Amino acid sequence: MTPYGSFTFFFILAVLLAPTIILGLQGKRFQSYNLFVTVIALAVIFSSSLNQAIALCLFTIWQVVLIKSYLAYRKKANRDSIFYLAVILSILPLILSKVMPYFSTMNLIGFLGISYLTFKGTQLIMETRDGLIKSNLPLPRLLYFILFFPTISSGPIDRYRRFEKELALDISAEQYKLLLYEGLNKIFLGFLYKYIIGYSINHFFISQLRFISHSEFQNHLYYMYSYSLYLFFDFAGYSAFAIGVSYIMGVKSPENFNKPFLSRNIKDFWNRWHMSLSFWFRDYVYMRFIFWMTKKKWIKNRNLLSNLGYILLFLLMGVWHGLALQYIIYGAYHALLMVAYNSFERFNKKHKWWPQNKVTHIVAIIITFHVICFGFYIFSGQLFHKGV
Amino acid sequence: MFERFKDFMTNQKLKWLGRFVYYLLILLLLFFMYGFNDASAGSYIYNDF
Repeated sequence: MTPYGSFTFFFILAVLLAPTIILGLQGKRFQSYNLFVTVIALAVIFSSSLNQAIALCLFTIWQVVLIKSYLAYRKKANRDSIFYLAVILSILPLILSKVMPYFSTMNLIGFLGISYLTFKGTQLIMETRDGLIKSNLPLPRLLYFILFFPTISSGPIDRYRRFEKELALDISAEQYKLLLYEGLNKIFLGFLYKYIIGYSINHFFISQLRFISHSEFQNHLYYMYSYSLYLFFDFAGYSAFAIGVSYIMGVKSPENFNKPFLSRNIKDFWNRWHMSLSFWFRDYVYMRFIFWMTKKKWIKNRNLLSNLGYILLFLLMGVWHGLALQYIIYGAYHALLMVAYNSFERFNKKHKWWPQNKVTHIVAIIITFHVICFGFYIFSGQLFHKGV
Repeated sequence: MFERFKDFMTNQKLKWLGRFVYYLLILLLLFFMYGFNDASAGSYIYNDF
């Protein structure tokens, strides 16, 4: 069953979370019960595919063994080669699941949420390497973090240290009341975004485009904007559900969106769109690349280094979506935009060509909106297909 | 005048009423669009990644 994909799923959630809510409103601890809810919810989600359920179990064992082994090793030594090996082994199942469909009709490794679980596992290895995680990770807590069901299918990608801190907190009845209120608000927002606006855009506009538009160009133009809005309402709707349910379970999962279509430039956009993913790539790809290159002193020009970091980040992000042409070009497009904006920002700092005022602010939002929509048009794959 | 407007807008009862209407509208729209069917608004795009 797809998480948040049908009303039945919400009904099951309501029944499962009723004791959590009652305990929370009485100011009692409910995290032990939430572990039980997670097991049942995972069983419900993966009940339709035994293959996926087995893949999830094997993947979890793989990640836990890897994380625990690396943590034990890190207490004694800190060799680069072992760290790289641990990272490669951590992302190996994801790579195989992305590559396998090109060689076989059966994908035995892939399962719903493999990407997001991999991001969590790799993050733990990297933070262990940095010395941010030193103490032993209790197995139930580690499993709960990796398999936290509200965010399992598409994030938001949480950070272990933040997650752990929240679990350790004692939530009073008053505090839980606020969490519950915010959680319900987000769930209603999710219904508005996904089930009302997103569904309407897709059902009444995108699927009717051949009757609405009068030319091929118009068809593609309408598609570009409507698909961009549909993608946002679909994904922001999912995120609102995931975050809302997390809140009800006493965990403040990070936000994924912050009015992305009001971004002033491409850098601003990536601080507002799919934030948990872009911040993951920023911290674990971009920053690491910059740090590594600076340490090795291979490239001394800071601007060139920053641009290379952006190119690496966005190409990887593109490839992560899939090995299809549209995703690779989507990544390259955003890398190019980021490099161009970086150069423009430096130029503008010197020459003050683009003043900061209300008019330029609005113009910047409008330009960025169209540039972003074109990116989503590439992402949709319609650019490479005939007709919509 | 502005102060009175500000007081009016920050009134707790009004906020509560606004929230109530907002939730009710969403529920009504869901009901009109899907009725008593177990609606599926299509799979999520990002579930594929």
